[in-house]
Amino acid sequence: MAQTMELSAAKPPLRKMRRTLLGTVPVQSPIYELHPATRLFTLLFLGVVSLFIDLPEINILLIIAIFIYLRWAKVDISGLKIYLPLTVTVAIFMFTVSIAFPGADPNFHSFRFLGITFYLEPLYWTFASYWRLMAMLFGTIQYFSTNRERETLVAVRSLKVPFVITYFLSLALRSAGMFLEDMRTIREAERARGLDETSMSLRDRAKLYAMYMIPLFTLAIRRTDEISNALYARGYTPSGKLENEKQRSDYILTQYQFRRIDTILIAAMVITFVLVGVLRIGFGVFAVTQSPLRIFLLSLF
Amino acid sequence: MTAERLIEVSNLVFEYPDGTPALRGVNLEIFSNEFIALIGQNGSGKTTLAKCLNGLLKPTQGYVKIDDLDTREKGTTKKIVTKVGYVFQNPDHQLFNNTIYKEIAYGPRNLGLDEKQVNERVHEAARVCGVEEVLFNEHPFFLTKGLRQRVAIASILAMRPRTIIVDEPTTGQDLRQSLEVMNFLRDLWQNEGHTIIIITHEMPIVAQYAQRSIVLGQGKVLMDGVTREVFAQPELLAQTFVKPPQITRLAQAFSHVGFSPGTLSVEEMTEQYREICQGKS
Repeated sequence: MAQTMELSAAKPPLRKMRRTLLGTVPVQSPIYELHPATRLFTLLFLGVVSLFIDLPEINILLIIAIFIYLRWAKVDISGLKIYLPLTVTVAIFMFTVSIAFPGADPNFHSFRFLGITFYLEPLYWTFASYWRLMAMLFGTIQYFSTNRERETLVAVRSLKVPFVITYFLSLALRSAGMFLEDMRTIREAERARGLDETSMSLRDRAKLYAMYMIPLFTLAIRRTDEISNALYARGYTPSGKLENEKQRSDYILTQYQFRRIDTILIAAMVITFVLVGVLRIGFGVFAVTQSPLRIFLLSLF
Repeated sequence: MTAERLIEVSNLVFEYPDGTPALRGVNLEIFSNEFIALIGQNGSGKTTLAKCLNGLLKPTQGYVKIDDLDTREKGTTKKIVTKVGYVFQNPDHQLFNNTIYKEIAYGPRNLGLDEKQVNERVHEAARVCGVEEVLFNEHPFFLTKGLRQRVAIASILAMRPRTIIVDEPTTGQDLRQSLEVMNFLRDLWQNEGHTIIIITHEMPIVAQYAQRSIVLGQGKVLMDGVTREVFAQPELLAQTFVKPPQITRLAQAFSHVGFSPGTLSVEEMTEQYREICQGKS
């Protein structure tokens, strides 16, 4: 006789976490007190402001600020360790190029270590550029780790961006999400066939990523074809209007509140951004030559 | 002969990183040479359970033991995949080499076999799955979906697992292709002695092929037993939004005149009808 159990005994599952493009955030996270537009400005601010800042000291502080922000948002910071290989690979690449091709300038300060001649100025410039890149990278990661596709759309729409841009942005974000999901499944499929990444060298792991490209691109191309056909079949136009010139109904039904704190935070970010830009472009502030660490190192020669 | 226990699942709880509780205390035993169907509505935990059975997902609580090998232990991946194979729902997720030969050889190579053994296994798996050798140098993505599914199964079979889990083997296929895949899985079960576990929403397929059915709902096992007995309880099945095949429901509707509520096929119903008529005459 079949064993049976009443379904009523099982309680409906409760969701504790909300899935974002790059991670998960607790449903109770204080970040949801902020309007999506404010969160989008954190991307624009933290992800771009480093373009104006050469000083590694400030960029490192920015990264620390990003981690504090993520901690406040109750994001599991240990999950960020997946980006460690990326940060190491970028560092190896940048410093190797800088050491192998330092450029020719008789004014460079040099020193020898392990039989190799190092030039301080290009090396320090690489060091500064690396931290600038990392600040921008983590500024972007923080945004996509804490926001869903629809929140980005709400934010962009609240800024009165034309429909055609939000339309393409939504497609791009959706594709990015599906691309990552496919990649996760492909990695599972590899493990299901006995692949043990933990016992592999870095070179072999890099080769693995090349392998992912075959199914990922094939799936992406097939999906692009399907999505474009589906959009055509449903009468989508870049204007967002139907053939009878009526506006299409929205599929995002959640209501978000724009509060005073949002205004204050956005204003603070915009003012800081503009100020940093003006100081950098107009007055040369935040240039690498002003770095206290660089000044100290040069004083040793 | 007593059936050998291959997999033991005890109080299995699994939560996804976003906190969604997918399995909530599953207890199961899977024996050698069984043909099992995992059924239930979307989100009931079928695929999660299947991935736990293969060690792809590690239990949040409880355990899964495969031949007494605990899937929670580290470094067990290579041992587990030789015992339980998992064929993904979409074959495109599982094909990442540029020729069919390399695709089937990928698993055995990961197991560290020498090229002679790899070659033997590729030919054996391809033969069993009906993948012709002339296709060995073709790119997997240029094949039909049915053939891609076969290559995906062959690539798992090449690792010679005793248990094979196939996630929705008939999705997106026409009747002829569906029957081809299912008959092929039945051959693996009957002739090669494998334990087959399928995940499906197609109840006629379950009725025709599965010996045992496990019904999942909200992450728990709601029914577990011989398919005929499971389908004979439509009230319980209705709770999970699973309907027995039409022929079973027809027999249940006429059970008062002597039809068995566990009827699984037209042939069975015809036979019962004949007996009922003979009894009356």
